[in-house]
Amino acid sequence: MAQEEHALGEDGSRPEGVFEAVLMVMVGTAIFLMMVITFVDVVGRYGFNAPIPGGFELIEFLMPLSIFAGLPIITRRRAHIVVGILDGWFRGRAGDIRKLVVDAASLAVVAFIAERMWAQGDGLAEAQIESGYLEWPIAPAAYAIGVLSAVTCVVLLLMVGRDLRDLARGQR
Amino acid sequence: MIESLIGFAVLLLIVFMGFPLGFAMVAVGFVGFGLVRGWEPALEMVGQLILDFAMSYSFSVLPLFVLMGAFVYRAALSEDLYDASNAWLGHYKGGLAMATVAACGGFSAVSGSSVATAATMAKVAMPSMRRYRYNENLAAGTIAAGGTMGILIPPSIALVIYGIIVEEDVGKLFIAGIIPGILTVALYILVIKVLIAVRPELGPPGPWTPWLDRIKALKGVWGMVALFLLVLGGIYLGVFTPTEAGGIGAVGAVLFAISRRKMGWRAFFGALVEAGQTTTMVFSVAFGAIILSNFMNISGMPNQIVDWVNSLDIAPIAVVLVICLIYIALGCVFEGIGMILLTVPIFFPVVQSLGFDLIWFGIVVIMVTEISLITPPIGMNVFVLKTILPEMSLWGIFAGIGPFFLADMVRLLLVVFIPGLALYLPGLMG
Repeated sequence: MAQEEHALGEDGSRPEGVFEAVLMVMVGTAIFLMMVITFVDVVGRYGFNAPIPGGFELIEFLMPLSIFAGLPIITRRRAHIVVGILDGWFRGRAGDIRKLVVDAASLAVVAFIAERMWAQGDGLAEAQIESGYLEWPIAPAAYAIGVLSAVTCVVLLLMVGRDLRDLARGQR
Repeated sequence: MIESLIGFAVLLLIVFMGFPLGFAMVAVGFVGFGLVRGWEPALEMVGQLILDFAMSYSFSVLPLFVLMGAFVYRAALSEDLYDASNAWLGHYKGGLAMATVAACGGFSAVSGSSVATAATMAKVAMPSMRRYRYNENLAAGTIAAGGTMGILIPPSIALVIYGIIVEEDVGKLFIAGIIPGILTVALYILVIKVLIAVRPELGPPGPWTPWLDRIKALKGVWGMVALFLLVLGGIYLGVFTPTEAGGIGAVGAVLFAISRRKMGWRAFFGALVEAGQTTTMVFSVAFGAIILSNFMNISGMPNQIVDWVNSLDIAPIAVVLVICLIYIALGCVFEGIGMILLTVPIFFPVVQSLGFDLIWFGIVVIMVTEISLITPPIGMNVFVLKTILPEMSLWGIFAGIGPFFLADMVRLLLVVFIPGLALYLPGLMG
């Protein structure tokens, strides 16, 4: 069943450990800045005839952070949208195996994304692609997505490790 | 065509096993694309698409409206909303239930989430309906159904997601939701009136509120009305883009919450983080949906469906009705955002090629998605209510929803056959 908007209220926003706290500060800051930039941009445009130069592009650079800094958190909390209609069929040992397969396959997908984004970054860095107005290099944005995906891979690796332990414990 | 059917079957299988929807779509989309077009282009496609969409200005509309909703949720205005609706409607037979519908509509006008609407309203509306000995099933059904309006009445997270997939103007989609939203409130109130006319004991009248007190009760909600008018009015008049409206709405919601003394640092940070998590959750599936739909497109699936539909020689509207039926069936097992992201990439090219308006189809999709939130065996709003009211039986809540489900069907048919209900207002925007 889908777990959309599981984070009702404030419980979902309390960090568990330094690791989550750092990521949460990154996400929170990115979204906060996006809010402030759009607001100031509009007020500046209509009130003072002075929009933020390149405000548009600032938002574009903040977007990857607001999307991917949350990925390790969501993954660790198993808060991804799932439609597991059949997962109830897997009980006991079969359930442990299912969990292991799902986590391992998720690891493969996220590792793939990390590698792709890093390659994308290399391509952009080589071609020295810059944004149109601010003339900021685009490559760091791709690298950032790559790194945050790689962090998610570490999270998934730990989850796979725990799955294996559960499986081994179940066997005894 | 055959490749995408196999791909889709594989996708459903692994998704049903509990594999995260977004990751599954990325995997199937990539492998399918690779098999049809070759691995080199497939590798290039995945990297390029994710970066393009992750850095898209127009997509920033999503986190900003999610943030606005998170702030509004913390402003704790549900009580004032309910009190105001109650002051005006409570004295009628079934009035407390009608007030619940009205308050749900009001909350939806500042929140883009159905689950949040149902959860918030349950906490204030249920106790007072119990005090007046309302039938429990009716009370719970009203809240569950009323809550679904969260994604229809703008701003709506679901409409934003739809707009992202079909690349339609989110502003127009928002404006298109207004009349169907008002229609929903009216139909739900009518349902309650009819039920009470047949069985008056279901919902006894509440106390009469003097006129002066009614005016006073509006004091608690004027800020919310102002916020709605600012955001939607700005979009409608073209003063700002949907993204800007999201930014303005979020700032407005913070100020609103501060003015109500509900916004400390902790709540502020909590709202930011919550908005971030929802953003991640939605985008990780949206990326998958876009990669998957690329695979479906190069395999020629949408075109072949269109050819097939044309060869059937049936009225285009019949196709839409069939799509609605598929959605209602899918809605029994799928849920909200996941259903939209999985199905819209497949259906929208068909609907578009038949000559229908994608803004209108968006409203239709949102309405069938609303229905998915309240249909057994899996209805998200029902489960939310069950968590808040553990003493109620699941089937009691579903029974209470029954009459509203019928109203939903009537409403769906109205919008399908009278597209003007959705398209009139956006048509005026120019």
